[in-house]
Amino acid sequence: MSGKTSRRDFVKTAAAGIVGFGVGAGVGYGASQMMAPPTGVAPTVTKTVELGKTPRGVPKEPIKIGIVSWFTGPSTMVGEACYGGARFAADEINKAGGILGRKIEVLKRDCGTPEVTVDAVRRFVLEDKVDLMGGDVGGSNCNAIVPHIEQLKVPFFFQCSTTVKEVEELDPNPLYVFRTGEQNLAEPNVAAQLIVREFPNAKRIAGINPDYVYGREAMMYTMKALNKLAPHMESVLETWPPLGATDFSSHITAVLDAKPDVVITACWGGDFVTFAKQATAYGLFQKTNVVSILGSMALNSLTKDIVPPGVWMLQRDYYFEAPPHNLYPLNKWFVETYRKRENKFPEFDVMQIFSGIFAYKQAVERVYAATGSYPENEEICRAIQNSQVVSPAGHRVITSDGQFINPLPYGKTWHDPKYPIATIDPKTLGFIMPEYVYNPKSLPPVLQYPLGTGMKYSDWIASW
Amino acid sequence: MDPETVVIIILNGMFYALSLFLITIGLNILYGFMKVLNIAHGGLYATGAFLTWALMNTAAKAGYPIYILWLCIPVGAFLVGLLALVIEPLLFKRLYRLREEYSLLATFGLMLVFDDSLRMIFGGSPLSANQLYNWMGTLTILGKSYPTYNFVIYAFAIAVALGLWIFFFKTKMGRILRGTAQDREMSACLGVNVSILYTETFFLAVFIAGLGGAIYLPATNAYSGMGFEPIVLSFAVMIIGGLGSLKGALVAASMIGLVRAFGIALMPELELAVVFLILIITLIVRPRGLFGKKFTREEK
Amino acid sequence: MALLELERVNTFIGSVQVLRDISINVDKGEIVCLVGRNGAGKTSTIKTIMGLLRPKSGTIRFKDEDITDLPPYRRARLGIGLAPDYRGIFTDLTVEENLQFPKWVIKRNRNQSGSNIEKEVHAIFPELDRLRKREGLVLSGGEGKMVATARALMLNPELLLLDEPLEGLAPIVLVRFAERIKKIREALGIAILLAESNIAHASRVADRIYVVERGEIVYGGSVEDVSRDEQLNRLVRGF
Repeated sequence: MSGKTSRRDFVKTAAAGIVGFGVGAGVGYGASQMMAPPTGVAPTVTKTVELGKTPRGVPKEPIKIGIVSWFTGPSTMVGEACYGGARFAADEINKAGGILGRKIEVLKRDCGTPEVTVDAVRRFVLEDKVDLMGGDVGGSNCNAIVPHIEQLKVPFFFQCSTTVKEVEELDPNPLYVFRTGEQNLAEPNVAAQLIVREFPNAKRIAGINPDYVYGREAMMYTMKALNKLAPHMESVLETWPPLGATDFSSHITAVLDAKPDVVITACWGGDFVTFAKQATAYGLFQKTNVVSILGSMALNSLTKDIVPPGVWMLQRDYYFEAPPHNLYPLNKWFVETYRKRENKFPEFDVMQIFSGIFAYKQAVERVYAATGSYPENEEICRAIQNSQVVSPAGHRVITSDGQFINPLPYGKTWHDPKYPIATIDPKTLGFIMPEYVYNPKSLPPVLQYPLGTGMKYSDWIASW
Repeated sequence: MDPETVVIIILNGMFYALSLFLITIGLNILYGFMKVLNIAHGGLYATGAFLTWALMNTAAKAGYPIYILWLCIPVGAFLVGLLALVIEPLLFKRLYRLREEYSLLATFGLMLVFDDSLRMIFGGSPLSANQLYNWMGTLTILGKSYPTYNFVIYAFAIAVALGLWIFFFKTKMGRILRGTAQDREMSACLGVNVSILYTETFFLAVFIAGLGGAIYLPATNAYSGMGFEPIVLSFAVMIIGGLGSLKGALVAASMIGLVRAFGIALMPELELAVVFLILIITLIVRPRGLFGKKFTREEK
Repeated sequence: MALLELERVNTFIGSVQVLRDISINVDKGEIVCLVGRNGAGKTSTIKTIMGLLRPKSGTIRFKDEDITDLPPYRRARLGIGLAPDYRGIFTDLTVEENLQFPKWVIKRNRNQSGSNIEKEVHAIFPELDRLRKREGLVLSGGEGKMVATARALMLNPELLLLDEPLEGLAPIVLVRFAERIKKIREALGIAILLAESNIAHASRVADRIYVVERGEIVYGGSVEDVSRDEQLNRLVRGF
């Protein structure tokens, strides 16, 4: 199947709102990796057309999408990926005629402190009159803007991995808030799973993690999960370079001196690039095993002279070669088209906003088809909840609290002559199932972190 | 901790120290001679890294030999210096006669302009130029791997320190500069065109900042916002070493580098705290810094 | 033809007028003294001639060239040397470096340089040899004045401006320094304009004096005339 036909298939599939497994452009998972169909995914369409009321027509104006993210500072690459992904989705939808004929426009605003971020959200809605928003605003900004989103009644597709502390205090029943990216509480779990799976005999664990809430949580909860899953593993040294550090040599030397079996790093973006370069020179990769939790964010900067073969890398919820292109043409088309557009491989941020926008499109069209009336935001959001969306990462399940879920890929790097960057060796490509993420020991029944009960995440890990 | 590791830690400490030193020295020149506190120096450091990246990347893609890549470092720094010839007359000349607060505000603004411009031109992804770093390879020191390129940085920073010492204390222009720093009116009365001299000095300070960014590029990378962290730490180094003192910059930067390197190995929790702890102790015990001048100079 | 000529010069510092319609001239090889009490306007006159203060109106001519709008460094290069009242020694530099300073500057700018000036200056101030290596910070008052004067001479000027050269000197040193000032003219043939608050001191060296009072020239003429005029005398002395 050529890329062109698969693209049309995809747009058509999403447009038709056909939901279900095995339907669409193709399912890329092997039998062993097949995700069991979760319960409660039947489309729920709220009938709001009361008798005697005239149905609402399709508005003439274009649909405006506001991207709130980092467009300045060291995290700029994050904003660029979110914005690039949104424009990609918008262009594809516009080419196929828009959403019920409405074209899509993409705007962007910079986030920052919680105040700045709230301001950006409010101005998007009140001044620019956007129809939906999305973007990675940073994990610790989420809870500040959630009440505003609920009040403004405009859907927001978060792409950030919300900090554990914020998840613990999360509104359990948001209507307008969706999370298209995995949350912090998933990543340490995946890392712990990976370590237990790949290095069952490891004893000494060390960390080089950025010194702010994300890096601290990544290390702390990975160790908590490891203590539970593999009590023989212990943390021997935890170092904390500042965010935006240019020199990791002292951390690398100290960690090497502690003779760890596995080194965990949640450094990302430019930090990971610098870290990897210096780690190579100090022989860290040769002397021990490195597990990178978020290095994949800088996907396009991970050239072969920076990242050697043999580094274990988590990919959050999307890796551009997973599902494999030969099995899943939609992903092949996605990667090739994005590369043509931006001259880059799509990062997970690109996939996240892309699937969020298609989930929105699907919901609008579905409600319209069922009711004959153009839906209000509330109806759109209810239609997105408990649904699924076909995405380049495979089918993504959207839970009743707005979380997008799909298997989380990871693997070990190698140098594929096909690519200019270090990529994941397909032989090592693995997936951690969401069920695993939320409870590694019981599968099934699915046991999830009990959102909204006030239970501490660490208490929940202890309860396994 | 084995003795081999101690050696590596010391080397690491100096690697970090010298990056601070190369920025602080420019800050010190500008403050010592023109009484300008230049926050935008971090932006010039970043510009050095980005321009050198552009040069190296182009040269490497065109398949030029390795010595051309080496040449990119001074050329990149020189281009940053040329920038100085634009911003000095436009902005800084107006700041020399004003109080320090004004220069802090104005140069902070300039820093943001630099940061945004670099992002606009080069995008948000980190950029690396590893050719030289990889070409130099890895040394084995006492059984431990160590990047050879770091020694280029050591040699280079020592050369800059020595060169500046010779410049300021042995050359005519350096001594004219020191005289002018103390009394620009008297200097003008003895025939010095202070305006041109300041532009030349500014060029020198900016050139060194650009060199810092350029020489560190192969060992790190160029990324959006990279100028902010070093400028904060360099101000700390400047205060610990004494405002305007070259010797102070070298000693204070080395001190911070070494204490930090050992701190990371022994008390990793205190990494950043260590730097500011030294700063606070200095401010309490010796407010003018290690090699700062007493505030009793013969001035009008 | 006058070497230096000020014509109806008015200078302000901020909103305060410090010089009012000052018109003076200094001829080649002449020693002229501005006499007046502290705050009368002597230093302001010297600074205006050097270019450190810009007059609001009036013209300054040096060697028949209008220098009213030239910056200080251009005036220095034209041949005006200044030893200011506060001495202006570069304390970070040694005495030797202080003395070489003007030469370095001029060399950098490829001006013609007086080859013999160094020898002549050392002949006038033989003590300089002893001070060469000393830091500028540790000079006594008399030594400082000497170094400042010698340094101004190293510019090879045609007009030397000395602001309060004798002030604060011990009596013996004062007499010796006054002799040196005369010797400068003998050896180099240059004009000297000095400011002095003590008319008796002024009379030791000056050919001609101007009495300055409240920013105005109240008298110009020979020293003898002033000494004879009791009213002027009192004005200058202040009692």
